[in-house]
Amino acid sequence: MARFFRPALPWLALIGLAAGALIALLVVFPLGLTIYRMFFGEGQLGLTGWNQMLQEPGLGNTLLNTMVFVGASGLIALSIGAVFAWLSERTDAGLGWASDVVSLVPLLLPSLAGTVGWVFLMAPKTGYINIILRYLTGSEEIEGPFNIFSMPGMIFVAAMYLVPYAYLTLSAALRNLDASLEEASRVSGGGIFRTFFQISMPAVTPALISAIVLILMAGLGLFSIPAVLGTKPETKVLSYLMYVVVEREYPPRIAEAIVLSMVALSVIQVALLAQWFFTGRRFQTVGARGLARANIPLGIWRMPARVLMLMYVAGAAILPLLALILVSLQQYWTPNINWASLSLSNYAYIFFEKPIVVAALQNSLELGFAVAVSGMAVATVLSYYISRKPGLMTRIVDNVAMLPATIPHIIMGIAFLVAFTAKPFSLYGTTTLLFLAYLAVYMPQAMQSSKFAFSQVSPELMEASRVFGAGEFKSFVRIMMPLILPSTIAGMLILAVLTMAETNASVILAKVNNPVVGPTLFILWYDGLVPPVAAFAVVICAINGLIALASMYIGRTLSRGR
Amino acid sequence: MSAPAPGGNVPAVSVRNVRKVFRSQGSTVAALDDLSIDVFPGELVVLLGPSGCGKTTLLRSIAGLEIPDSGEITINQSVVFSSTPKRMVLPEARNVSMVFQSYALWPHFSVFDNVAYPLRARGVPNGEVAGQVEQALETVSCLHLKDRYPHQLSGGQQQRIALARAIVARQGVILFDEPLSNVDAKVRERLRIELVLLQRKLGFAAVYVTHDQTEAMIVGDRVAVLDRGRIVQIGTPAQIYDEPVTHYVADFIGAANFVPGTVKGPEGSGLVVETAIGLARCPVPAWPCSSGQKVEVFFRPEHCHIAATLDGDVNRWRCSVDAKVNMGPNREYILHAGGHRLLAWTTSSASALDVPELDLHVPAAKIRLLPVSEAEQPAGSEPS
Repeated sequence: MARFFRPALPWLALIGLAAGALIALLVVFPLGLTIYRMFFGEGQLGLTGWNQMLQEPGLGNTLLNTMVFVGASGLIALSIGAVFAWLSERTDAGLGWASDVVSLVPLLLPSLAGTVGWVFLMAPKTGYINIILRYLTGSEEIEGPFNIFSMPGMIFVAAMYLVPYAYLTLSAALRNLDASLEEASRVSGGGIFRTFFQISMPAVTPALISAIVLILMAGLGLFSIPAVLGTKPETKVLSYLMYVVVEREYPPRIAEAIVLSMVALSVIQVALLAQWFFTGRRFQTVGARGLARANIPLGIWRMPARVLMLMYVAGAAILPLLALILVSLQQYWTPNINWASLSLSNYAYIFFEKPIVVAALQNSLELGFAVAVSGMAVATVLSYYISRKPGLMTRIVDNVAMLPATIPHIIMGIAFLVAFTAKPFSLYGTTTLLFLAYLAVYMPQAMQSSKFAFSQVSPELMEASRVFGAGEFKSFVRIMMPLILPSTIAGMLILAVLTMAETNASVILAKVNNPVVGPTLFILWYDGLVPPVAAFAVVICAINGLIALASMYIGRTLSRGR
Repeated sequence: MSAPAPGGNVPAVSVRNVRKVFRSQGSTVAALDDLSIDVFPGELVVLLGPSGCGKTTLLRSIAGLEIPDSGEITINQSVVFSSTPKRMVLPEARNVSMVFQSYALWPHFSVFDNVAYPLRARGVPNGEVAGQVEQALETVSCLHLKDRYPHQLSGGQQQRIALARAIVARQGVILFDEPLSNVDAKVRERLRIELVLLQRKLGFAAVYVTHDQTEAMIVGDRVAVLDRGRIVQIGTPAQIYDEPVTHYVADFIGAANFVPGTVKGPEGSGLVVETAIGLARCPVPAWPCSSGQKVEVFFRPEHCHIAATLDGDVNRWRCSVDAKVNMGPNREYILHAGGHRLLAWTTSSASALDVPELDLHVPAAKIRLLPVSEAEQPAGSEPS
């Protein structure tokens, strides 16, 4: 009956070790090799990268642009995301299940597609919104008033794409906040605004900080938006510069790209350090007893709040999608809509005359599914292992798994190119290469989802299972797995959609043999095939939307069956 | 110091010299400091103390959810933890049940499946599960709830289900981790009584953690008062209440008056102590004490007699009245004398007591002397 003392749980240790080894292979190996190549690559030793970077014309300007671009769009996104999270989780202005869709909308509309949609809306001459505004004001100008190909235009589109990072993080934290905190504020005479700024937001400070860090990482990695809107020297930002030196220059200046990425990396590291410093205290976990859900009445502010949220949905998704649909039905990209000539010919074109499009779609779908399932599986095992065996070893594994979050995808793409296309792997131009790269790139996202899932389950529930006679493995299967399932599925949904929309690493790794949707869309855009790009973008949105809706439905059904 | 052990002489749970140190940010806190305790079959032992006294760590160590640094723990004569030789039985192999503070009902299981879990986990044949589950639910009068889910239950109902889950596998030892701290007062009173009746009826041994001294007195066969990882006193509720051995215990249980003083010498069969409020006469304490020693005079408010004027001069002190509080069955007089605050309870509501100064008398037999030592003065531990 009595068992002898054992240092650890073997099955757990073994699986944890396996997952850790996988992470090492996917993260440490390619990055390590790339950094090694930076100094000792291809027979040349030295600081080539630094020299090339310092000779880059307008480098200071590029860095300044990056700060303005990321800072402004991040700040706007954080404000919008925080307000929306609070409105939908804590007040009666919530739009029910529509709130959840709000947060996912920009994910469903890949940033490249959305950006192209906004080009159709706000291109200085031909943008639909500009034309309507010129007509309404009786202006004689042939351009304006808006120009999407500008720094404000880039910030505007980027902000909409960064909102979900703030929204998802904060709404999760706010959902678990005891309603009495805010009620106490209201009863004590605190108005809606005082309650928001002095009670709700401080109470979720850890989430707020992690939202800021997430936004910073995502903002520095944003590539599609500058690549479409900011190609002129005066609006060039770091992420676009990296792409240019790798893909648009011959020979590619990979050493310079690595040095550039180190600049971005150091900024992110400082932010991570700050986050680690500020979130020393533990997150509040949900007890086994349910807390009352908050429902603050907003009074006269309720309608404006709802209108604001709907405006965001319109801006981030509906308007660009409508623009894409409209252009996709035209023969040529023209602001003069000839309703009689609208047709589905562009769809027929991409499906029947562009085999690369069909191949890209199929590849992306398969990859999205594979990355979602295996990514969450690995992340679940890893984060459980980390939570059960705190110590130096697990801290290292955790940090290594989170490392890709601090590395622009484009660099991960280069690292994979360096590490896995040579022998013994020889994965050049294969979907396996893309699969491994996506797995590495989205591991932090998967880890965050699974850690959140675990944080939602009170430790007493597992302890109770142990005391009542079930071993650790059995307790995990019977108690933990069902309880983390809804959050895990939500995590898979995000992974799948992100994978489908991935462009930055794909641009480096996808070749003619293994096309995926992001780079393919990009190639068509640079080839000037504007209406087919619109059609392709609409198809991608439809697929992403269907996946998201299906997964959300599954998630909801499971969590309701309690 | 220890009470006679009821119900047999082989302990159901035996904890020997257990030590557990928590380290956080450079400093170490001894949660369990060389602690020993026995719990006998059919007995309910309460671990009482303020938060941080180590009571929950002790309970979790018995359950196997916490691993002590050293010592030995035996459950039903089988060693479940020992530092030398090394042995650590995992929680699932310990044959104890537990009621958790948050109840820890699994939200994805129905009431029936929650209660059936301990049976299924231990491989009870499927045919027998339903009968035993229904019997356990019947015992806590919740059979009608068996198809519900935890979130559809009130706090009191959840508590009953947690209890049913703890008794269903008939483990013989049940651990209670502040089980009533999450229900409201009325329900708590009722559940408390039900729990005591159930424990008497089923005869399991129980270790019960609480910080609520009233609850400890009601449910405990014996009460162990903990302070900084050690048991300060263990005994029946009456012993703990009437014969506290330290200021800490006296202060933690019930209301108390303390007046510091110096032993003057023996008088008759008792002692005389000189205090700021006057001379106090009391029985000789069980611990050694000599003339000139600093001591503390302790008595309870309900043992005070008050009147505008009293006859006799043994333990009669003149006090000023600061306030009168109606406590329901009693009136509480908040008094002061010799610079010390004193509380006195009386059932009388006579207007004769509405005077600015009163005579206070405590029978010598009701006064206890407590030792004064620096170590015994707990810093900042406030009983609730």
